[in-house]
Amino acid sequence: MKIRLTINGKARELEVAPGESATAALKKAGCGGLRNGCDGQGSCGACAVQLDGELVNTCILLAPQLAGRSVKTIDGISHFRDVSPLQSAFIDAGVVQCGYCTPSMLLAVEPLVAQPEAPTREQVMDAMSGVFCRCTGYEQFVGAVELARERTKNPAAKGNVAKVYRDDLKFVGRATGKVDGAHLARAGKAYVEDRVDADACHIKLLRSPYAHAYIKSIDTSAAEAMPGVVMVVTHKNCPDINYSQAGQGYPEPSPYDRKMFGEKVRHIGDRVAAVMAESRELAAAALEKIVVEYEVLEPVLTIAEASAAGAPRVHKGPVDFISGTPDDLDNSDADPRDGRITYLFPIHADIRRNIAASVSGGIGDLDKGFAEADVILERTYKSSQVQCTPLEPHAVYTKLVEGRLVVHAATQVPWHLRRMFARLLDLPENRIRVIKEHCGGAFGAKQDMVLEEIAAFCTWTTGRPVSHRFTREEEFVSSRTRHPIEFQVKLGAKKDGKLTAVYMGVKANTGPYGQHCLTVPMNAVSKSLPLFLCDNAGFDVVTYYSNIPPAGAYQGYGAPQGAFAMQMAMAELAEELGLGQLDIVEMNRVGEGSWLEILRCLGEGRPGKPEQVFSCGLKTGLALGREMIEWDKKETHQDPDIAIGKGLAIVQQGSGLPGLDASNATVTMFGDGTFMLLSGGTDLGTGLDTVSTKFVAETLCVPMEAVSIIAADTDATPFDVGAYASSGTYYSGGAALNAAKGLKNIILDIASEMLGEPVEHLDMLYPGIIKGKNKQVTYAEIAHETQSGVGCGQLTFTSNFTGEAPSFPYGTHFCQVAVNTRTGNVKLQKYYAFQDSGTPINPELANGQTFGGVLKTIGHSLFEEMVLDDEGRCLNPNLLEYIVPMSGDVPDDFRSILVHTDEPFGPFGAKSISEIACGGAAPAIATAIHDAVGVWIRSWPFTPEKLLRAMGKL
Amino acid sequence: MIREFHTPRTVDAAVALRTELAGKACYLAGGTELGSTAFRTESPQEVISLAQVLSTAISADDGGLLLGAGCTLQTISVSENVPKVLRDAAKLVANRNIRNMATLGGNIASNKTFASMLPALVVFDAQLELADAGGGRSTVGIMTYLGRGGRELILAVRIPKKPGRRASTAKLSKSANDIATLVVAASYVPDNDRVREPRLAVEGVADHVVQLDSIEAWLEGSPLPSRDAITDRVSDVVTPKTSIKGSAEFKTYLAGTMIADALHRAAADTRKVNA
Ligand SMILES: Cc1cc2nc3c(=O)[nH]c(=O)nc-3n(C[C@@H](O)[C@@H](O)[C@H](O)COP(=O)(O)OP(=O)(O)OC[C@H]3O[C@@H](n4cnc5c(N)ncnc54)[C@H](O)[C@@H]3O)c2cc1C
Ligand code: FES
Ligand code: FES
Repeated sequence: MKIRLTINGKARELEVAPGESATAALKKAGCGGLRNGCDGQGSCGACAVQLDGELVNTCILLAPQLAGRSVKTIDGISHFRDVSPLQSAFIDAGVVQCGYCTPSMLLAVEPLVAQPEAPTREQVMDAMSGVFCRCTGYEQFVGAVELARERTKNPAAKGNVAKVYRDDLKFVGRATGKVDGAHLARAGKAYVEDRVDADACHIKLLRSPYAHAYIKSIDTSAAEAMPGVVMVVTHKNCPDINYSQAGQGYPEPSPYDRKMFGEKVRHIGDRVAAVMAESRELAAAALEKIVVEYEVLEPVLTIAEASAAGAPRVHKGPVDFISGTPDDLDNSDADPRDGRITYLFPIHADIRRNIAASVSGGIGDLDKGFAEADVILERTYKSSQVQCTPLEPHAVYTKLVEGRLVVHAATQVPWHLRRMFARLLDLPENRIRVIKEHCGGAFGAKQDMVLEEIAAFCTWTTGRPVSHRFTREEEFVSSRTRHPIEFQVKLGAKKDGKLTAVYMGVKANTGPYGQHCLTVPMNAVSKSLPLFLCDNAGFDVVTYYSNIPPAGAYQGYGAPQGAFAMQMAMAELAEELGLGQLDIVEMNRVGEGSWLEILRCLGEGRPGKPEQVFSCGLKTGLALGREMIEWDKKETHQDPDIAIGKGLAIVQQGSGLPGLDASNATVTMFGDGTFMLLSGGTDLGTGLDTVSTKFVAETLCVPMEAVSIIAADTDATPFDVGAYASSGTYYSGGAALNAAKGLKNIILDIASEMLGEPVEHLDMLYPGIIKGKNKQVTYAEIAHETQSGVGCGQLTFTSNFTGEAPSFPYGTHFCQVAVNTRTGNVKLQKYYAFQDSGTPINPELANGQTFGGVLKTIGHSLFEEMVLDDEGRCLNPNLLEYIVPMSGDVPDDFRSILVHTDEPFGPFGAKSISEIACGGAAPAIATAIHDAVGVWIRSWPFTPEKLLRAMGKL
Repeated sequence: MIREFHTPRTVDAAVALRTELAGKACYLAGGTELGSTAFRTESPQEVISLAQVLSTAISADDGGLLLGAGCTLQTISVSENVPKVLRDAAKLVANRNIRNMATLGGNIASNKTFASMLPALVVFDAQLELADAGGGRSTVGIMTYLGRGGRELILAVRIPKKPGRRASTAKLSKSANDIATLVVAASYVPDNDRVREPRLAVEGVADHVVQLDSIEAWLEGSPLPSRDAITDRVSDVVTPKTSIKGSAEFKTYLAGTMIADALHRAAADTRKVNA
């Protein structure tokens, strides 16, 4: 049928099918910026347009509903290459992170820019209330709208988006906007989905309906016979290679405990078969034709079940070791159907007891410490299974280009992917190119290879291009989640609150496979114990296999769970001793100059050693927080049913993995004296490319526009381990800085020759001039000289960054809650995050990282939770029922305050941001709830029902 | 799979089409339920768009307030003519995009146990103007319509005048946009210290909205009981089921507490809601 409508002010006539979605019809009509985050639920707003001026979700509209109406898409917001005042305000205010939600957000708030009266904060939040953004935490959009309104009157308006932290520098420490901001704000092609060619085949996976079963037989013949089906992959024809999907550096601490397709399935949603077909619909239809016979086994879902004597075994395959083979290795009872497990080095696993990994350690003498204590407190805490929920689900596009495998991936780890593909496909690395596309959010889920290897295998086998994208449900059941962890914390203290002994017992549930099974739970310890100084400290970590959906990396990497346990225990200890929470924290906390002895037994991937803290913003954070939140004042509410309480938490993270992480970058001078930066760094929307560009521009004294960047392409840019462990600014940025410094020296040498003056007489001046005592030379002249027929050649410098210093960032989070004592509902009135990340390189983006990290964990604390039934089936694998934080959940008064410290080892004094923001919310909120209503909620999430039970109302 | 999209221009044409295509077609208003993979319960082969048929007007006359069934929840939430409690009810749909699309008629007809408008409409004694299959028009009470399975086309919603009525509505959900665990509404007309014409409605304790007639009868003519007394009574008559949203015990407690609070909030609200 034909419909007439107006699209971005132009009359159009479209041929649409009666049942076609409006999204599909508008895309066919050439509209950009229409994304998909919820598969037609209508819950995420990624597909939104303005319909007659109101924001609507096109995925739940039928195309014919557009008839006679006026549609405005992102293309109607910018004009050619220009960005509108609203788009530029978005960029400058730091609200364009991954950019996947940006078109919808722009359309959502645009009417507020034009309205005569200034919108209230509530109106801005309401305008965005249908659009899910996992990155930003929504807060900075209020400032963005304000700035846009100013800019419509005065295009030069700068607004007040962030403080300046380094007024001695041009770009570092001040807001400059993101280098890819305009491209993303215009909804330019950026993501994997934008790269898929028209002739691409598609993959759909057949997934296990059982949590634990052997595949007795599988018949794919009917599916293979279907026209348009290219290939079907099962355990019978996939590579016979066991591997880990964890995107970690080699040798990985994660066990190689799976094949591409196994003969045993270990969770509901586990891979059974893949169909590659010429369309998605055909692939889905072919799945129906596959006949599978299962031998169903009893599943184990919880830590208690997995650790029970005689529990069903999740892994029974033969075991081997690359190094450190134990003398008593015994494979006599192995079942080959379970597949082989290879350990690259021992991680103290015991698969007969479902133990995927374990580690113990400590300093001092715990028994003595507890004996010296006046008070001993012992408590248990539990985190739940929560999912990263990047707005863009996992996606990959693979194709052959001149005989080489080219992979467009939404990944945090392009080089690890290349290495893993090489092994799985038995290819040398030079035959593979991995291009990291813009990720629509990653948060740890994209540190692992969760679908990429199947597409790579299919393309390499058939020679045809393949696109594979998870549905939202697949994202829940087979991507990555936070490990559910049970903590036993035991503290000993003197009457005055001084700690004498600290013990942390950690039992984690990794699910079916062991990606990150050692390192995440260990990080729960290594990022929480060192916050408090105590001579006697110990820990035991045991991670169990089970048949729940897989766990893995998630922003914070175990630290949020550990922070919850440790900070809660300290607050409970304070209550026991009749002390204030803030006072006991102050008395025992780490500070500048402290030695962290406990790290001697908490090395990650290598032996540990004690570390000294050189910069620490906790003192400032605690002092500011005490004052700003009026810590010592008891608040009351005019409604007697509402009780108000305040809580706090201190948190710590790392800045990459010293001794393991490595980054490289190359800076090259072009003919006009501009530069190209080739960076291995993987920007996930966090602003890493901007950091690296700033470092180069700052060092070489040129405008940021004079430095272009290409990053994270295994063909075009040098090696980098990838974006995880908060390594971006410190390592990848550090490599760019080192490359720029190297090039600076070369430029000075050449200028010295050209000017006939010694280097000591030369100054490098903005914008790209070398000035001697007598003469000066521009970069353009240097480029001309060096690139001419008699020159020394194009100037370029490659450098790397490795480090030994841990450069811990610190955070102090305060919050104020209002608890409805009748319904158990918790409202966040205030949340202040004081973040010490050294020098904030991109302050507006650092704030955005903080707001985003905090809101994610507010979600984990209050409502997010994957609910499984008795058989291990996830009952809420969608955004609506799982529940993600939207703008309506933002605390009434939400602030990110960057505490500027100067880290001697970081580039320009920087430490990391991002992960650190995730640690504070759970303990800060839980301790505030206790302050309000006197109950300790020791497990996530703090639902009204849990509160009511704890308050004795149920 | 939808194969036909009809856009009738008159109410009668819409009703006639629906009769002709019985079993195959259904009405389509905002489409937020019909179009959503989360809420769709019907998979019609043909849809009858109400876009050109339904009124989107809000008007007041001697009989009270008349809201066209085509009004979006966003329009209702910001309309000054509409009693505050109905505006509040529309805002219980916290998702602006959904409010922009969803219609009043659709919210009623879909009759979900979390429908944000329904409890408030029930406690306002809302009357629905319907287009009957035979081509006639009729007016029925909202509970009657819902009770008989609500298949007729809703043209408008009338809120009868009731001087002095006080009302309140509330939801409990885990997050702002979460589909409500419970929605309640309460209203009554104060007569000196006595409660007259109490109306109580609750969702989340059964498959559809429940009007608590027995509690209304208990309240009629008596002074407003304490919150505890109301809670106990309500808890005795609701029989929710355990679900992903919470245990039966929790929902029972909550129904009692929230109804009691809604009534007392209404009592404290001295504005003349619908005089
Ligand atoms: C993400 C999301 C969040 C939501 N949140 C909420 C919420 O918080 N609260 C809430 O109440 N709802 C919520 N909903 C459900 C929302 O779709 C409905 O409440 C909405 O009001 C339905 O109205 P509609 O006009 O879109 O109906 P449609 O989808 O067009 O129709 C729904 C049903 O009603 C029938 N119908 C429509 N109009 C009429 C009429 N005039 N006469 C007779 N029958 C008619 C249709 O045939 C169909 O069976 C949500 C939906 C989504 C997708
Ligand atoms: S994709 Fe349309 S609302 Fe999520
Ligand atoms: S910037 Fe909003 S989802 Fe990433």
